[in-house]
Amino acid sequence: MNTLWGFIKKEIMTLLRDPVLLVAILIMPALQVVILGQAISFEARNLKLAVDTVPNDMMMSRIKDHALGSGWFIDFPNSRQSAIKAVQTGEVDAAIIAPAGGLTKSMLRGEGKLQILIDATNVLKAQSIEGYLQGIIAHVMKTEYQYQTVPPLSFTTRILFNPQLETQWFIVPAIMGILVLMSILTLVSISITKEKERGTIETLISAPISKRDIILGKTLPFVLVAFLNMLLIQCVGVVLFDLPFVGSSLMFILSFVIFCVPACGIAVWLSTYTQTQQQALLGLMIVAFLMMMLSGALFPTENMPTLLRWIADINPLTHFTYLLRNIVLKGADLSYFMEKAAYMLITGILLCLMAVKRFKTTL
Amino acid sequence: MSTMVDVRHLFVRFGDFTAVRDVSFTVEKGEIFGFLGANGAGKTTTIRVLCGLLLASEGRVFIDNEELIAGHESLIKSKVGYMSQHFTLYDDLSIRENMDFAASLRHMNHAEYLKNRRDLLDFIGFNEDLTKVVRDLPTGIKQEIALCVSLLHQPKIVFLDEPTAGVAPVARHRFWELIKKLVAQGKTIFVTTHYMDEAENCGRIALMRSGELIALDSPANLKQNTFHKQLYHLSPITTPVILPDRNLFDIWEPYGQNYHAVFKNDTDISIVRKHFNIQKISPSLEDVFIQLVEGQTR
Ligand SMILES: Nc1ncnc2c1ncn2[C@@H]1O[C@H](COP(=O)(O)OP(=O)(O)O)[C@@H](O)[C@H]1O
Ligand SMILES: [Mg+2]
Repeated sequence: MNTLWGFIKKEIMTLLRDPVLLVAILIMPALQVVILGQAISFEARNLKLAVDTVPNDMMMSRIKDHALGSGWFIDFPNSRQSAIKAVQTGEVDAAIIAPAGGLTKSMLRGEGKLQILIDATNVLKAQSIEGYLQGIIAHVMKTEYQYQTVPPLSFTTRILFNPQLETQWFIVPAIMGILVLMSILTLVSISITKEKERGTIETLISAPISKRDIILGKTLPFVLVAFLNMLLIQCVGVVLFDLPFVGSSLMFILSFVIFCVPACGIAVWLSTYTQTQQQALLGLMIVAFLMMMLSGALFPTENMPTLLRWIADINPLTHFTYLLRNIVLKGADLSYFMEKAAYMLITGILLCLMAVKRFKTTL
Repeated sequence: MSTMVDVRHLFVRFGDFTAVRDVSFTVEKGEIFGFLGANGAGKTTTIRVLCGLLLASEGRVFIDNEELIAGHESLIKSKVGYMSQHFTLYDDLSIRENMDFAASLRHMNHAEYLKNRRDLLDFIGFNEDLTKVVRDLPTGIKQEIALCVSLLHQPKIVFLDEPTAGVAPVARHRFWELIKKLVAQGKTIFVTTHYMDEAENCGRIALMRSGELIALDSPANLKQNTFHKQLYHLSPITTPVILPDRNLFDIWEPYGQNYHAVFKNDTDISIVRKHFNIQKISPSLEDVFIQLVEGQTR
């Protein structure tokens, strides 16, 4: 009989006979979505801003200076892409687009129409951006050009990808990422240490079975459980918050599969240090907490100190969360997917190598 | 008879603690080889090495003429059956699920697995529901099922590490009947125990103390070689007990309320007769072990 299939049957049966763990794994996610969906707030800094206008548009460059000077925004050097494209690809968080011929000229004609584009995959960030930009523009107009009120300037703010600014839409993919991580970490490291604690690991390694088979056998069943988990959260999102699903299901599944590589790597690696379930739980709490906090899943990473931002940048959960948001809310394009997938794969392979190196098939 | 297990100068160290020190012995095909010793003597450690679960620090091990080589344990693992001193079964799985899993670990062909399972369950006389969860089984049955699991792939030799620890006497007896039946079928049994009455069933006994092998022989020879003089059973007549002069004896061991003793000079018996009922006895294995293990440390 096939070893891997044997493991899957065994681990799933074990899980089914543990009602407490089962409830924790299946009910908790739904609960978290509901609670966190309401409770989390964000503050954003270091937002990337693109300004799209003609050369020598004095008014626009004053607005830009003020925006950068405010400390909220950082400049995004003009790329060859159009501002809209830059927002769409997530290269910038916001773009201000001047009317044809530049803002200065059109204000003189008395018909200044500014367009503000905001990437609203992160909904709270988007709300802040809109507020900041309108404030800054009004300030510049008033103090430097003595335009008392908004007319003749008018804004159109276009929030891309999440037009209703639904917080929950934004939070659901984040929770999805966190819970995939949590369920894999918990299930894998608990199940490995349980074998050590109960001594059944001896039966396991007394069989002529390779390290690869043990590691796959101890992770794959839980990858399946985690996938169910992710689907469940998506369903809760759809039912409770009318969460859309814009992107491709294939990308959705693939990004999950790829994220499982680093997640399983961490779980197995952790379990090589622990002998008891308590130790395993403690260890995974610490690791999961750090990964969660430094991921941009719950808090934006833009305003973190440099060191922490670096950590966030190598944290696979960061990339998974961004990718999920992108797929679910705006239908990520292939190049975005490839970039995030590559990050996750590289860290994943490194983590797995570490885990495999430490994992022993002798006592 | 040919050799099933050949251990040469085995050492196992954990850090700077030596759990097994220079142990050498052979086990012949078709014998019951008893591995005895107090807790911490190094029995489990030795078994783990022989089954490829633990790396030896030094020494060579051959099982069925195949050398155990670090990194290539699989070869040996597929030849031996192992039942660990903990429960080798998954508590929260049913009997069938436990056996299914064991078969999948050994890549067994399904038809072969079903046949072996049927044969083994018949062998232990188990005809109850296989969907019972192991947790709910009596300890004796668990041990027998664990034995079946270790035999599922039809190994020539099985290593049983304290298979009857914590099992009721009747079930222990049953278990030993199974072991004898296995040997009759041509299997080799390597078993550790600290029940002396069980050790009498072994063809040969190896005795471990603090990681060293201090005796290896058949039960009869061990008795003969340990006690050259007559052993006596002394039960006190008086209360409180009036202890005789220790210098009269080569051996003086408390045995429950009574004593087992060997006189330096059998003519001294009359001196002790006032206070004790004295009977000639032949030594049990327990006497032998007390003598070998504890006697030497005094
Ligand atoms: N993994 C280990 N690390 C350190 N010491 C160990 C380890 N395993 C066993 N020992 C020690 O080795 C000695 C022999 O243990 P063991 O073989 O289990 O004895 P027995 O089975 O005869 O009771 C004991 O003192 C035990 O504490
Ligand atoms: Mg032991």
